[in-house]
Amino acid sequence: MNAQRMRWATILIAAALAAAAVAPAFAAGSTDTTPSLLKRGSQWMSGRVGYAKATGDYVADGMMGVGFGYRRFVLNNWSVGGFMQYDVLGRYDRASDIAVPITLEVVRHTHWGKSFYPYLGLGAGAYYRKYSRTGADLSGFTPGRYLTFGAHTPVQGRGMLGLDVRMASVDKPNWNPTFAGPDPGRLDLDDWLAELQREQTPGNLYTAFMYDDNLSKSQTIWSVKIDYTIVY
Amino acid sequence: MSKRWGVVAGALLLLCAAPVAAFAVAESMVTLTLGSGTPNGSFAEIASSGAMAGLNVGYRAIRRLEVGATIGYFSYASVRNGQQFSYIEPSTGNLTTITMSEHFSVTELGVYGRLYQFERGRLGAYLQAGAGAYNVRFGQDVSASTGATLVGGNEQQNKFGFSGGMGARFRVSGGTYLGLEAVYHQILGKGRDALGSERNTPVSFTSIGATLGFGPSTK
Repeated sequence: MNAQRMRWATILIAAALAAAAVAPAFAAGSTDTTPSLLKRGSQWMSGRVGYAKATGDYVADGMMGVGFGYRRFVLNNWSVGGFMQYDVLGRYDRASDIAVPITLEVVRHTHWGKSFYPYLGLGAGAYYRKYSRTGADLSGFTPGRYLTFGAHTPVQGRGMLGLDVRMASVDKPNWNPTFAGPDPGRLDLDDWLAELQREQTPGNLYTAFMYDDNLSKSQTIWSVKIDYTIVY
Repeated sequence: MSKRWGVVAGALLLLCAAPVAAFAVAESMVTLTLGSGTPNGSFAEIASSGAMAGLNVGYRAIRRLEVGATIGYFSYASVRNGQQFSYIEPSTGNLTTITMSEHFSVTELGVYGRLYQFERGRLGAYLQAGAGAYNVRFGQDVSASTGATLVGGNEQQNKFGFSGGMGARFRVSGGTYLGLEAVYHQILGKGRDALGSERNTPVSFTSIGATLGFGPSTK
């Protein structure tokens, strides 16, 4: 169900992005009212701190996360940025579920008046996942993709205060004595691709099936952070 | 030369004589794509042709280069889809015959660059390359069964992949474009089958689609 929700949310956000992208074309010839903050060439350096949590069955309560990143406006209202975060998604006693996303994102910004700068975008990157102090720790990289939205407001000088929300879809790590997950002994996707290949070989007498293997293999990671940005 | 080829040659000559289209930097373009997908390589051994839908949002960063973000959805039936299998159901111990319903779906979220090479009059041709995060899902279900069965489930993974292709578009009126494009996608993988043998398991496919684009209406 998480994958289904993520897919529909992505489609809806894509439609919204598309609608946002068409506007400048239709506005050709009109006076450029883009504020200097959102003009091509503008650069934003951001630091963030806030809440992070993984969703799904049998997950630990959400914890803190921090992050930083850089955005450059490649066109008026459109930025390309890179971010790195360190999110503690949950803890049981001393055991921790940690995610370190290293990502690139494309964001469409706009402004409502002179003091409210909302944005909406899509991103993807490598998510370093780690189970720490579980007695059977694991770590590794997995691809992830996300949609991001939020808003900023100028506070003083070149500083802006904002709120960033990120909803990411990543693979769920396998079962661990502390954290629930899919059975590590099962055939995963690549194994099924290999198995289906093998079954096409002449003389094959064995056919494999999944048995009630309906647990979701992906999870959604939420991040809600206060953001402080310096524009230069 | 037959009359038909004469008409084609004449049309191409007229096209070459047409003025070069003056596309401007920073144009925005939204393109919807609908079409079919054909599995390639070892993926073609286990999946049948399917359907695809895509959405691109792009900008001309420089005059001949469009860059943007793309979302795609591709669906393929497994070669076992619709086949019947008889097995001993572990939960009941009965001999059970099932009709399999198996599908692959791939969703793509990535970035792309398009290099426009031949823009004359209303026609533009381009080469395209991209990369992104792909989610590959394999779903197994039963469409008919002679008894109770627990067969079914799903596996999915996020993977990095890349794509490359070409296309052409034709401005039909105002800022509306129609076109065709073909894009090859490659997602690498390596797995171990149920008997323990390791195999390369790339998911590669070619999508061919009709495109409907919306962009600037002025030149």
